[in-house]
This record gives sequence, C-alpha cells and structure tokens, in this order.
Amino acid sequence: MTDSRFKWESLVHTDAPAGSVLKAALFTTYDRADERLLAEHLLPLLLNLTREPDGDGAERQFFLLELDQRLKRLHDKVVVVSSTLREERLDPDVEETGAYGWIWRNIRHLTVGSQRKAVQHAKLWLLHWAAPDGEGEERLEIVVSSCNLTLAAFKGQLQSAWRACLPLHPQRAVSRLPGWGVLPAFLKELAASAGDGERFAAFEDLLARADCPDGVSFVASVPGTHSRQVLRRTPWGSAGLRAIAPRGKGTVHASILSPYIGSWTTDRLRRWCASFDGAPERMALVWIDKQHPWARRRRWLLPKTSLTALLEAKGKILRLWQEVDDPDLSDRFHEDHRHTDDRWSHAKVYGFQRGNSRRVLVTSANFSLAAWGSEAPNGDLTIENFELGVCLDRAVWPFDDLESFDDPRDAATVLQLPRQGAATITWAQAAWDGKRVCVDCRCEAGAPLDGAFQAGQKWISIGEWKAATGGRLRSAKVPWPVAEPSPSTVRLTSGAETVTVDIFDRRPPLERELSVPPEVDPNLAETLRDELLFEQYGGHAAPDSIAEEGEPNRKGRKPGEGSDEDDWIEGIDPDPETDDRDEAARQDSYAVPAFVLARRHLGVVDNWAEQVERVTSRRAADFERAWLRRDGELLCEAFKRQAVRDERRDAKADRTRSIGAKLAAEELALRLKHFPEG
Amino acid sequence: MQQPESLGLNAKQWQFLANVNKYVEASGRAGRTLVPESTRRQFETARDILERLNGSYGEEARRGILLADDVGLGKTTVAAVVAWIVAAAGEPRGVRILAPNDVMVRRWKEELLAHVDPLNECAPFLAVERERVKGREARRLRAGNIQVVKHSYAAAEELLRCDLLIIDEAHRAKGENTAFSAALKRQKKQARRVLILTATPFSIRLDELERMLSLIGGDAARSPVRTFSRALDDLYGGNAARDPAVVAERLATKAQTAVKALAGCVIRHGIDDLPREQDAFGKRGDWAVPVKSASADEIEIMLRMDRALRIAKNGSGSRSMVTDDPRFHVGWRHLDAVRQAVKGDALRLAVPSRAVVENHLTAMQRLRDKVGTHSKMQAVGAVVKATVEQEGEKVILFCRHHATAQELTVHLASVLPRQVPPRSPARSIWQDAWDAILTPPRNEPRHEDQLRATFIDWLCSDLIRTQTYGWLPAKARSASHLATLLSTSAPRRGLGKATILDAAKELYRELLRSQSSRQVLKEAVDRLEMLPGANGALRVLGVCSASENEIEHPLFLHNQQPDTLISIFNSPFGPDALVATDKLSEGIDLHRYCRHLIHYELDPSPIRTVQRNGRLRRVNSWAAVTKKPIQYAFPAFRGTRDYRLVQIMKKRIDSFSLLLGGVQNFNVDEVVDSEERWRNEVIALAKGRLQKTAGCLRARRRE
Repeated sequence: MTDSRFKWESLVHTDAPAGSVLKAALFTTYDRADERLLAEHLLPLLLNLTREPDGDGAERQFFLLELDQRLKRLHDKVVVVSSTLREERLDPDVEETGAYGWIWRNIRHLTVGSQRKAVQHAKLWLLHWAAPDGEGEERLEIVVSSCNLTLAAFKGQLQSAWRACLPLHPQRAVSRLPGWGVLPAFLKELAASAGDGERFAAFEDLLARADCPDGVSFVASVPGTHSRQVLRRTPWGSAGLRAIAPRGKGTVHASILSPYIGSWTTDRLRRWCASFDGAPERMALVWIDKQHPWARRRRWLLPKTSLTALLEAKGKILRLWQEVDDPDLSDRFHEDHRHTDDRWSHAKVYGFQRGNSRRVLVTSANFSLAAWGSEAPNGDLTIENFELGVCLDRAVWPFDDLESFDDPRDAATVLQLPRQGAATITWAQAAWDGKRVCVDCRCEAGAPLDGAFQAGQKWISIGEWKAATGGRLRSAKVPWPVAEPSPSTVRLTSGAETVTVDIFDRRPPLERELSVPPEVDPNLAETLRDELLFEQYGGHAAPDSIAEEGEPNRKGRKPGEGSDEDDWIEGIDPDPETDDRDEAARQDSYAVPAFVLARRHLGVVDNWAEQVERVTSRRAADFERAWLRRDGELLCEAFKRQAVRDERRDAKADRTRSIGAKLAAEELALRLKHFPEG
Repeated sequence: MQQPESLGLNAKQWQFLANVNKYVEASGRAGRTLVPESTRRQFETARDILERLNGSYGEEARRGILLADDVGLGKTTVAAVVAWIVAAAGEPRGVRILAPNDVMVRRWKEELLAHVDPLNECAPFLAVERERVKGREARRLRAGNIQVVKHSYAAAEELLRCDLLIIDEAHRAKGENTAFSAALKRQKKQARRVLILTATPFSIRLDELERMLSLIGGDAARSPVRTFSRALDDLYGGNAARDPAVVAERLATKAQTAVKALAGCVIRHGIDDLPREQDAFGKRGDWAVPVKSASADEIEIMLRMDRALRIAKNGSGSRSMVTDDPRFHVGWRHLDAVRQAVKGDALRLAVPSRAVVENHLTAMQRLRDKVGTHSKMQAVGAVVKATVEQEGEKVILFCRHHATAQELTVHLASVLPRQVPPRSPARSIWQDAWDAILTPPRNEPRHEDQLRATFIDWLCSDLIRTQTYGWLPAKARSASHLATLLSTSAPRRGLGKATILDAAKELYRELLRSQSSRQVLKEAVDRLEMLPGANGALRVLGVCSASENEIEHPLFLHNQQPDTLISIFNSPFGPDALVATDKLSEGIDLHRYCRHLIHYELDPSPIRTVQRNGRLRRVNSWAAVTKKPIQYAFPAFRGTRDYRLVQIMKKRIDSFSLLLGGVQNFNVDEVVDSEERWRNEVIALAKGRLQKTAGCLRARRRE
C-alpha cells in the first residue's frame, strides 16, 4: 500500500501487469477453501481465463476445460493451506450440480496440525507472476488480509487487506530474507505444521528474490509455546508488537477493530499492552451497540467479561453507529461504504500511536489470546493460531472520529463465546499416484477411524490403517490402478466426526493430461481440449461460419494473421492510380476460407515456435521446456484431428478446408524433430 | 463562393452545332465518317457545356464541368469541339488539354485536327487552323491556340495559365496523394474554366468523386455525395438482418439527393441510356466461362508457397516478397519462378525453418508435377479455342500481371494450333494478286513503295495468308482470280460488310497514318516479324514483356509501339487471340473486329474493368456490324482470391452504377453468402427506385 489511506476495492483483483502469467500461488485460509469461489471467481482472474463459468452449453464446457487445463499446467504449483477439514460440504447435491471438487486434483490442499494441534487463521496470498510473453521482470504479489477463501467472506463481509506487487530479482539472495522480518520463519512453521516442507520452499525462494517494501513489517503468530529465548529470536504473537510500535517515549495508544474479542481479564490486557509499551487506559476498542445489525446477527462477538475487564482497566469503547431508520446518522465503516450495504466487517485492524507517530496493523488476528498468545509468568507465550499481519508506517487509522459510548452498557456483548469441540481428526491428506490411493491423517490415539474414498459413484472402504507416533499418525494405501473413474475424495470418520479430504492427483503428467472435469461431456472433450490448446497458442476455435466462402473478416485479424498484409493490400505493381486503394481494400478482403483457416492454424504453430525460441534463448527451467515440447506433441495430434473435423465441415467435400490443419501438423512434427535439447 | 465571370462567348457562336447533318457530311468529305445520332448527342453535350461554362441564357457561369460519359461515347469529340469554340470564337482564348500519355496526346491532336475542315465548312467564322494545335514545344500558350500535353506537364514548375483546362482521363488524379492530384490542386486556380473528362469519376471510394468536384467548383455537391457514401458503407458494413426494402429506400433517397446536387456540374450519358445509339455500339452480354473450383492440390500448392515464403521472410529478414501473391492464384508461372528463388533462400535459413521450407518445396514440386496446367488457364483456353475456331471470332484477354499474361499466351498457343498454310495458291501468286489490287493511295510518295511492298509481304505471310485463304468462297485458280476473290469476298465468315481488300486497304491507311507504324513498316523490310502476325502461323500474341524462354519469343510483341498492333487487331487480319496487360486497357480502340473480351485477371480498381470493357463497346463496333452482342467474361477461380476479386469487383461496379448508372454489372457465377444475397436485393430495389432520377445527369436539350 503506497497510499497511507485505506482504499475500497475488490480482493478479486491483481496488481500484476496485464497479461502476466501465474506461475505459482500460495493461499492460506481458516475456513476450508470454497471451490466455487476459487473456480468461478478467483482462478478465472488469476489464470486469465477467457470464458465465463455461467455460460450456456459449450461456453460452460469450454470454461471447465480451460480451467482444468490451466490448473494442470500449474499442477502442484497452487497451494491452499487451511485449518481443519472438519466442515462438511454444505450442499450434498453440489457434486451433481456442477461442483468443482475436481480442482483439487491439481491444487495442493494442505491443512495444519500434522505435528500438533494448530489453527490456521492467517490470510496470506503469495502469487508468483511471470512477465507477459516471458519478457521482462517476474513479480511477487503479496496480499495480507482478513479474508477467508469462502464465498461468504467475499460476498457478505468487509475485509481489510494490504497488497503489494514487487519485482523479482533473477537470483535468490539469502541476505534479502532478514528484510522480510518474521515472514520467512512463518512460512517455515506453516510448512512444518502442514507436513509438507517441499511445497513451501519455492515461496521462501520468492522472498529471497524480492526486497521487502519500505515502511512495511510483518507480525505473525504460530501455534505453540514459545520461550522468551525463542521470542527474542523470532518475536511471535504479541511479542512482535514491540518491534512495530512507534519508537519514542511515552505510552503507546492502541486502537482495535476486530469482530471477535476473546476472553480477556484486566491482567491479560495489561500484559498484552505491555508488549508494546502500551496501557489499557490508552486502549480503545471500536464496537457496536446492541441494535446494530451485526450484533443482532451475532457477527461481532464481545464477551461481557472482556468488556468489563476493558472498562475496569480504564480502556475506551468507541461506538460504531448504525442508525437503522436513518442511515445518514450512521458512522460509516468507510467513506465509500454505502449505508444500504449489509455486509459486515470481518476486518482486523490495529492502530498504534506514540506522539505523532502512527502505525496501522492489517492482520488476520482477532483480539484474542488464541491469536496473540497467552503469556505465562515465566514469559513463555502460548499461541493457538497461525496469524499474519502487516504493519504500515504512517498509515492513517480510519476511526479517529468515533466517540465513546454514552453508556457502555449499550455495547453489544455476549455472555459466552461459542465453543468448538476438540477435534479427533486434526490433520489429513490424500493423494493418488495412478496405482494407489494414499491417505495420511492425525487422529487421537486409540480413537476409532473409518475411511472410504469415492471414485465416480462408488465408495471404496479403506480396510487397513497403519499407525505411527504413538498411534496418532495413521496411514493407509489402497490399490486403485484404474484411470476412470478416478478417485476424488476420502471420507474419514471417527465417532461422530467426519472429515472430507480431497485426493491430489500425483500421477505423471502424461497420465493426467487426458482427465476431464466430471461435468464435461466426454464425447466433446477431445474437440474442446484441442480448441483450447489452439487458443492457448493464439489460435481460435474455428466456427462453422467460416464455411461461408469469401466473407470478409470484419473483426480484424486474429493472432497469427497479424503480419499478413497480402489479403488486404494489392501491392505488386505500384500504380499511382491505385495508390489510395488500401483504405477501401480494408473493407474488401480477398481472403478465402482455405487461406484463413490455414493461417489461423499456422499462426498457432508460429506462436508455439516463438515460445520455443524464447525459452531456448533464456535457458528456462526444464519443466517449461518439457511443457512446450509436450504441447507441441499435443498440438500436432490436435491438428491431425482438426484436419478430420475441417474435412467433415467441408460442404463441397473437396478437402481444401483441411489442408491448413494438415500443414500445421506436418510442420509441428518437423519442428519437434528439431526441438532444442536442454 | 465567388461567381466566375462570363467567358465572353455568345450562344450564336455554336449555333452551327444544331445542324448535325451538315457537319456529318462535311466530316465525311474530309475522310471521317461520323454516326449522325452519336454526333447529335455529342454536339448537344458540347453546347450544354459551353452554356454552363459561359453562363449563357441568364444562367450563372460555372467554374467547371465533369463530363463522365461512358467509355466509347466520344468524350474526346465533345471536348475537342468545345476546345475549338472556346479557343476561336470571338476574342481568342487559350485552351490546354492534359492527356495521360504520348499515345493519347497524339490521339488528341488527331481528334482536334479532324475537326478543322468540317469546322471551316460549317463555322467559317471560327477560322480554325491546323497550326493552332500545339504540343509541348510551345513554351507559351497564345490566345487562340490549343496546347495538348501529358499529365506530367501539370507537375512542372510553370503555371498552366489558360482560359480552359481540359483534363482527360482525370481518374488518374483520384488518389489524393498522387503527384498528378497535387499538381492539379496547384494548377486549378490558373485556369478560368476546367473541363474534366473521365468515364469513372470514382472507383473504390466516393471521396474520389468529391476531390474532382472540388476541382470544378462543385463543392455544394460534396456533402450529399458524402451522405450517400455513408449509406453505401452501411450497406456493405451494416446489419444484414434489416428489411431490404427499408435499406433500399434509404439508399435510393440519398442517391437521388446526391444526383440532384451533382446535376449542375456533372454530365453523364450511359450507353444503355441511349437507345437510339445502341445499334452503333452493339449490344452486350454476359459470357459464362465455367471454371471448376480449385482442387485441393492446387490450393495446397498455394498454401505451401504462402507458408514457405512467410518462414523464409521471417527467417532471413531479407526477402520482402508478397507471400500470397495474386499471381499464384491465376497461374503457375510466377509461382514456379518464386519457388526457384526460395530454394536459394532456404540455404541461408537456420534450423528448423530451413527444414520446414525445404519440405514445402519438395511437396510443391510433387504437387506441381501432379496438377500440370492451371485449371483456370485450361478452362479459358478451351473457351477461347471454341470462339476462335468455331465462331471465327477474335478474342482479347486482359491480365493484370506480365507473368500471368505470358503464361496465358503460351497456354493459348498450345491449344490453338498453328495454322497450316495452304500449298496452293503459292505464295508468289498471293504476292501478285495483292500487288495487283492493293494500289498505292493517291499522292503516296514514290519512296513509300517499299512500305507497300512490306505490307504485301506481311499479307502473304503464313498466318495472314492462311486466314485469308479460309475466308475465300472458292479456290483461286490464278493470281487474277485470287485478286477478284479478295476484292469481292468478306473476311471473317462474311460477317462484316467490307471486302478483304477493303479491310487490307483500310489497315494499310491506318498504318501509314501513324508515325510509329510507319517506322515499324520501314524496319520490317528486313525483319518482317516486327509486324504482329508475321511470326509464322501462330494465332496468339502476347502484348506484355516477353518471357525469357527463347522458344516462346515469337509469341510476344517485341515492338514497344502498340499502334501497329492496334491497327492490325482492328482489322480482320492477324492474331486471333490477343493477351494484353492493362497497358492496352485505356484510350485504345480494339473494337473494329473483336467483340469477345475475357477479364482473365482483374485489377482491383473498377476503373480498369470499365476501361477494358470500353475497348470493345464503341461506335461502329464489330458487335454493331455483326449484330451480335459484345461478350464480356469474368471467369472466377472458385476457392481462391481470384474468385473473391471477381465478387468484390461486382460490388464496386454496383456501387458505381447505383449513383451514376450506365455501368454494366455482371453476375458472379454463384452467390453463396446470405449477406451478399441481401445486398444484391437491396441494390436491385434501390435501382428500381432510382429509375425516377435516371437521365438527371444527361446534357440538357435546348429546343
């Protein structure tokens, strides 16, 4: 955030330059990531999808296949880390009506808790962008927010977020990592808890290739009990607040906006404030009254005891007004926040001020001990959650104008916070390598555990579990060598608790590439996939309308036809009489169907060849080269099929329409023979 | 806008134009036969132009007039009469004529001189003199003189001050950025009056017409023309789901408004609007030349060439040739030449481009061996053969490019076998017969005997002798019998009225009349093959740059002066099939013994098409003589850009005829596109509505 003021914008957005290509992404969320949100909103933006999810018929099929193809290209490069998987899918029919569970075949969905109990509450996005057309700087886009990856969070809530899109240096340098404060360590802890260090290494590498922006520092919490010694090295939780509070003399004033307030005592409040040279009497909590819609719908929760503790400690409680009958009287949450907007604030923002120095912390951390840690008399800090925030120098606290409640008793409070029962199954993951379905989970020792995985309409029971680590870590391997139906989810049951785990597809690329989302008509899949592949290389799905002979193309040229002037300008014999014919010639194309089609197809070959050249010249990673080679092979096959399709469309059956595709296949085969070795 | 002052002419000074018959008779006495009906219309037009330019009968004087008569209606004659009257009537005035090239400058001079005797007889008060016609050599234009110069003269530093500036073939100035256009803009203020002559005041875009209007002070008409232009754009670019009747109504309304606005400064007659003259021009008809669709192999050759060239172009960065050359679509000769060139280029390419190009070259070689002669050549060749052999007619075929013209010439020569000269009568008998009857013209200087001898040599050459023999009704028993037959038989299956001898005499006269033909005749003493048709018994002649293949040399005209060829083609003798580039498409008469024209390869500009057609549809055409229609063919090679070019030409011709009428539209053999069908319907409806304004641009009659 370069501006010190808060701005209002959608989170479904990117600051990466137009045309940038996503190379990898890490998303963290508390709630289980909502596939529909990912598939219909976030991924289409990040993957530059060209089709709409709610299109009819072929459009939808294209959308699904395009999404699937892009995700395959990013196989295991998109990682989502959430808290437990305990939540059931809300709608059991969703599978039949267009669910997106299949996206997890390619997206690595991890949960924390593989080593010990942990809650993943941080909301971090790390997006690795390649420059458009592979030329120019790569970028790392970082988003730290209060937003879970759920439709409710995006549609029904207001969030606080900070975003930066930073250029990446070509090489990593360990010396850059300290500039990022606790963030690299946070990633390491998250990786360890998710039981998958490999997946996170690439993201840590990205931090080592970027410079942390000026005026920005990170505050993070990781679960566990951390000694003073550890905290001095890595100041987790409230220990991190000292470093971000404005320096100087005098007491630090703290302001808090958080929809969820934990159970605080005056003593705990004092200890929390002490961590940044603050004091409860210099603390202000932004809150709502009992009539506020967010209170009535129990969106914002403040235990009465915590309010009492705050008031006893001489802390302030500021009123965020909302006059239902007269919205003009309300304190708007934000200047662009409309009164009629019924979204509730899920933002967690903290303001710190010493003298004229101000800091604002945008974080995932609610004002709770689980987030900030509970300090033991010996100074050890026990934290339950992974949290992450970013502190911004000189940022403006947006609630300076609020006034205290006339009567604090008007503040909305609850007697007791809702409790979540202790989970039996705290962590699980599943993958399929084409031969076996492998399931790992962490479960209370001695607790009963049943499991079954779904393949198509069938459920296959997991017969035998192997236990390790005192019986808490259990694993099973079930043979499943059949490609269709492929296994999709594992259901684990322990007593009344059920956990659903998506099965990651770990098969080699060649085995994976032919799978299609369940909703896609298998009879159309091949054609659609071919057309998407053409499109990926600048081609264009050939509409039937082109069969109309001689119709000039009014929409301008398609990629691959761009350099062609021959159809438009008659320029063989310069003749003063016809010098001005170009303008009119633009209306009158001499292009004929066989040529239009051939150029379209060969344009795809050109674009592919151009990428091969580019990748060769910049010594790109082996996997990029391998992808290109494979794409070349697939394109070659696709063009052979296209030739058959073009021939079928040829009303006159004179085979002229199919020549272009045949030539494209022929040229690709030749070019593949000469594919540059790594 | 400031009103131009009167030219100071008096309507009485052109009153003699009303007595057309007297003039026609006077002209006949001077050796030039005129068609009374056409002369009447031409004189009416001249009178109307003079009235408008002068501001007679209380009318406001006009700065200029655009005469846009159809090709062949005699715009030159009209303008020549106007030029003489402006130059010579009353107080003398200076007239300048800008003609496109040397040939046209010569023809202009001939035209002006042809009026001297009749004018002196019918309008002696004008006192016109041959000496008043000047060329470039006259540094300054004196009052009373008419200077004829080339268009390029306008670009000279000197300002072309004059009382009347006549710009012939003014469509050459239509390109806004052409040097001629710029020169005219600069020079227009130097002329008190401007008369623009063109049969095609616009070709592709209507703003060409707008630019011409600005030259003649017709700015008031520019806005309605622009509005019509937009309506036309809408026809070709707008929604084709609309009711055709509504669109047609709108288009017709705009056209009517534009035509009304143009009527003050534009005069136009279409041949079809002149029923009384049509007999002299001959009727016209569509000539279907069926060409089968391009085969997959043919398309593949073109696609492979396109691809190979693209890769070669991108790979080496050196060759900047057009990859989808229009020549590739109508013949193989240029493609084969380029193929050879690319072979060399391929060696300089890096892998894998080199492998790809070489693969295409190999495949093209295989396909070329397989397909042989180009399909369109074959189809056209068959039709030409039938026309020449079965109907005994001459055919002219136009190509846009030399390579295409060469290939077509060679192909036609292969399908039209050489004539086998008759063994009897012997050549010497022919010689004697011709010598006996082709008496030298009166007053022919003695030293020109040699020219006549050369001409008779030519008449006795294999092709001409064989042709002539074929027209004789009986076998000649002796030289004197042959002479009698030649003097009494008609050539070309007796279709014409003249005898073979008449035709030979007329041709000889024509050849002597032209300086360049005279020169050719002189040089032909030792090289008879310089005369078209003298090179053996070949029936085809290519008027284009000759191919490099020596064996093919006899098929091409090696003489750069086309006058001789034109004269011969305008006789019953000589080549039956003439393959020409657009060098012969303008300002040249080819109509006297030919009524068959094939647009083998169109130029994108409809001007070319109209001009080409105009070579045959002229007064006293072969079509008029034989009472058979002029046949225009637009063979289209379906599946290639050649076919699209024909379709687009149809559209451009349609656009033209909607506004100005009188241009023959034609049918593309099959309309497949629904939008095109819709457009055709709109155009047909609009034309129907425009009947009301038909004739609006004709010269006004003063009773």
